[in-house]
Amino acid sequence: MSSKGDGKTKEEVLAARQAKKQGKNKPNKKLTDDKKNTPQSSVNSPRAESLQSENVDAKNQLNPENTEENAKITPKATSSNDKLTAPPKEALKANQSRDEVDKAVKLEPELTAETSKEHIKAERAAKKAAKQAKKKNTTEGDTQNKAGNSNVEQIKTDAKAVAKPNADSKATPKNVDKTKNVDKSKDVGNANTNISEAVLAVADSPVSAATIKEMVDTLKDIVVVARDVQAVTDKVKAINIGAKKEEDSTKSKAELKAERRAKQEAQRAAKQATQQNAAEVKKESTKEPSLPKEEKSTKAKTVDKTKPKPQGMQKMNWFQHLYTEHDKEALKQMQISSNLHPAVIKLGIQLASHVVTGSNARCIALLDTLKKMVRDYSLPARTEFARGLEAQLAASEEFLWGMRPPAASQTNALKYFRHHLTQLPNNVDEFDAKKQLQEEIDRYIGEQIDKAGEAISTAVREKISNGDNILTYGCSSLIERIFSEAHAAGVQFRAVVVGTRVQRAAREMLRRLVARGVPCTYADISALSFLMRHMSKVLVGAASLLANGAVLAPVGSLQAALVARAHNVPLLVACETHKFSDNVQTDAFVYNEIGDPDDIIDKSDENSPLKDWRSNPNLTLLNLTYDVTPPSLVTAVVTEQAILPCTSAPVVLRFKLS
Amino acid sequence: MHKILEFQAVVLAAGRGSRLPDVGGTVSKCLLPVGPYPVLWYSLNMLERYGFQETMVVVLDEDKSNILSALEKCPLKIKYEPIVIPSNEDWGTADSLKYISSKVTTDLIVVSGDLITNVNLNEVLNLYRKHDAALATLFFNNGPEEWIELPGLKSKVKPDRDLVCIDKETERLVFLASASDFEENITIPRMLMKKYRSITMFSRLLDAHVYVMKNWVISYLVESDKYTSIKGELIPHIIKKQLSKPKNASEKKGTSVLNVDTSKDIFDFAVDQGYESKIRDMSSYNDHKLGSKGVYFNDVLRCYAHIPNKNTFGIRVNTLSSLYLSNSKILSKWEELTGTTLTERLHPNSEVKTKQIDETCTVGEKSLISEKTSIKSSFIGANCTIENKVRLTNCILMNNVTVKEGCVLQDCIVFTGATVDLNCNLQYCLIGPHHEVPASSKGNHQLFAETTDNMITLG
Repeated sequence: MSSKGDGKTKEEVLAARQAKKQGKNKPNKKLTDDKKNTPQSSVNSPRAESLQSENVDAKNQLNPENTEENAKITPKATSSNDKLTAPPKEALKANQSRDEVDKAVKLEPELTAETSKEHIKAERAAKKAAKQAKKKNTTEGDTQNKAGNSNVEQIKTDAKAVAKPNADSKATPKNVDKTKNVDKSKDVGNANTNISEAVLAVADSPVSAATIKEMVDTLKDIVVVARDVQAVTDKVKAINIGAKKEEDSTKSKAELKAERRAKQEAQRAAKQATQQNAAEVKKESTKEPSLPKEEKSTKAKTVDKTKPKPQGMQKMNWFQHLYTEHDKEALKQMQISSNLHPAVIKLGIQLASHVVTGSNARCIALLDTLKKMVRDYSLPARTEFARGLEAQLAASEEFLWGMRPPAASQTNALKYFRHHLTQLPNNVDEFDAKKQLQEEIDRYIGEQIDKAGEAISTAVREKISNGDNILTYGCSSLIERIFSEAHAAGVQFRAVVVGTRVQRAAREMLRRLVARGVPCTYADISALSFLMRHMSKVLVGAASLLANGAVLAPVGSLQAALVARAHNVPLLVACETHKFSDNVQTDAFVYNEIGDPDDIIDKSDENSPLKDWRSNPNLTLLNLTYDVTPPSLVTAVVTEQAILPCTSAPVVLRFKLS
Repeated sequence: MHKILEFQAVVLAAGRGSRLPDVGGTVSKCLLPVGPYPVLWYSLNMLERYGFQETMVVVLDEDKSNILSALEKCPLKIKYEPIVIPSNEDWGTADSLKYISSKVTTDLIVVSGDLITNVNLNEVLNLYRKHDAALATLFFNNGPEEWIELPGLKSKVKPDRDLVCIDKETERLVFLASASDFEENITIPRMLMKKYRSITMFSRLLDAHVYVMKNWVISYLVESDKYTSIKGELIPHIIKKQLSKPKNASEKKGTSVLNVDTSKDIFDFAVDQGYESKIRDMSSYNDHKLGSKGVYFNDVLRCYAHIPNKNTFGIRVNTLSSLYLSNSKILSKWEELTGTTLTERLHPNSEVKTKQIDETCTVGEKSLISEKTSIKSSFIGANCTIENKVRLTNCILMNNVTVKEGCVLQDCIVFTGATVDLNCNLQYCLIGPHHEVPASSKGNHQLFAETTDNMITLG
């Protein structure tokens, strides 16, 4: 009914009205503008009046008609057969004519757009006439415009008000029905109700879509639809009359009286039609002066609409919040003479290209870079060491996190480094400060990563018994260490490495374990449920343990955890305490890192249908990096301090702080 | 604040143009004109575009003043420090590097002074950074060279070709040798076949002579003292050494630079300074899919080669054909090559009286072009005089050239200080420096120069 093309044109009208109102609200407008405005409003008012008169006419016309038809039926009950055959035709005609009205509704705005110049001329002519009736009309037009606008605004601002136009649309056809005779009202009324239903459907559909779309857009749509409804109901009334007139003429042989009255009605209708046409012409002419404004506003809108689209081509709509500004092109535009330390730039590239990946590796790489930065740092004159270095640190941090969002291990390491940097005494000697900081970094790597790994390795080894089948997912340097050390200690077990096609990490894990002589099995994630029944434990690494006990781990871990729970296999998570994070995340969608969508595509396959996915506007690829495993699925977390339930993460965090 | 540089750059501009035809007299290669500026300017401009604030320029003693004065006239913000090497000793490129080794404190980018390209240098640098490489190079895949009719004598000089083997997936450079080293058969180390699933051998790549190398490579160069050429000896050696392992790998873990053996080999220089190896072990990255080897096959040395896509423009102006080709293309690609717009095609101090000079011409400083001349697609240097009724088409005129009345030159290159006397008609000719072409001479594919063996013109 109101296709989108219609909706837009209505939007234009709406925008034009708003623009008018704004123009009116500005009293300091130029005289020429005033002149323009006044004829508009002056022409507006007759149109509105004519509309009103239309309504009145229609109602008036309907009533006599109905009475006339009543008269028809009562005397000629015998000719009811004729009438029974007639109604379907009527209904058809009503439908046809409805379509015609729709077309007309569609055509109107097009015409207005095309014949804008002519109408501007017409407007000029109208100006003269308008000048005479200036005072009256301006006041009237103003009030009317304001009233119209205020209605629109009400609908806009009040979500409840949305119901209003719907109710109106319901009510108006019903009223029409009521006034009609029993026979006709059934059929013609059906058509009307159809129309009204269609109207309602149109009115309803954006409402149901409102859950997805932004509220503002839906409100706008509703307003537009409401206006459609009103316009259409008006038209429908007119059509009914027209239809009846025609139908009467076909039946004219049967009923002469009716024919006469029909003729009268036809004359009336013709009169009305001419009036209407005149009103429409005026309507159009009123639209014309505001057209440029409309165009501007629509242009602005279309620009707004088209802008997000190209992004939408590449980005998932629902995950817009996850995308970062950084992209591959930025890497190519770097300038060489930045103030960053070379090691920082190198690390940035390595992080972005995932050459350095994995929580521990990223942490060590960061610390190594910091160490080099401290080593090469030369203190400017009259600056405190801590402050001078802090400035450089902040810049480096920004650069690195821009390259890839930090892992929890990295933020913790940086926090630790900052802490020691600020703890330095003010009058510290540069050499001592450097030495001290470098030692701290070495100590952090030694204690938090190496020694913690050792402690976890020994703790887990006790849990591995001979003949165990232990499943692991993805690649973790810690798990690798646990397995290889357990194997070296003589424990007989089989490691089952599960991975996905997309991630090469699991295969790398397999390679490393095999290189160490650990008996291994590799399986794709699709075989998980089959394998799980033979497993005695699931042991996975983690990118981070969140404060609510949830485990942030490479995507796919949650799947492994779920299958493990389904088969009642205990899930152990190995995680050093330096990876504990004070963030809380309940699912993987509130925050995540989006990987390169091209990684999902199998590049070795020449005939892959996804090869040129970027050319398909309806296809977006999403490559999420992490999964959040809820605490309920985790049996225990192995840390260097103890084997803990994962919900005690906050305790560990608090303990670490003190 | 003292800035720690990531890279230092050195431009090698001491080439003698051995691949250019002998036209008598000395022509410094880096001052050959390409468009309005000497070829050296394009290398410096490229470095400037990528954010370098200073660079070293290795120049020959005899050229120093010429180069400096030429560069002064060019728009350059980058600070260039001329490094003078003696012109009477025949120094190789490696010798030049050795000479400046004391000034090199960071990783080094070696750029040839005859390079004109619009390649994104960051792609090479990022490749180098990404893999913590010992060496990263740049090759152009220009496809077969366009055939153009060259001025001068027709000669059949085969361009020297390199055989380059690259692992396509990782862009690792695994083999480099000059094609002239082989007669019929090429031997490739068996290790290569074992290591890589597929390697691609190229024979028509153009070496851009852009080398990004670790600082220790310079120390190694100084210490070993057996290389004279970077391209010919040093780079192939490093690439070859990728395949071998440090001799006593067990001892060398960590930071044992204390091997005071008499013969320090290259692996003694390539030592990690921090936790690099630990990071490599922990990171789940691997550059190859199969096999039991760790990342990079546990190689200590890693060399990479970047080949930009085919529509990248890259040319080295070291032959007559490339000089001619670059001149014909320079103006159409000016903006992408230099990142600037060419505002002064006709130098403000020049005097151009003719109106028949088209858009593809440039005129240098203080040149005088008389009326009634027709100039098309030609580059005219500084202090040139073009007299009346001269027609120039597709010509390159270097500085101080005089073309007298009534001459018609087509597709000619006129070297510095030459004079073309009245009513000459020359096509595809080379006119040597300070040579005077007698009046009314006609020529096609000829060389007019004061060389010992070329006085007899060979049609």
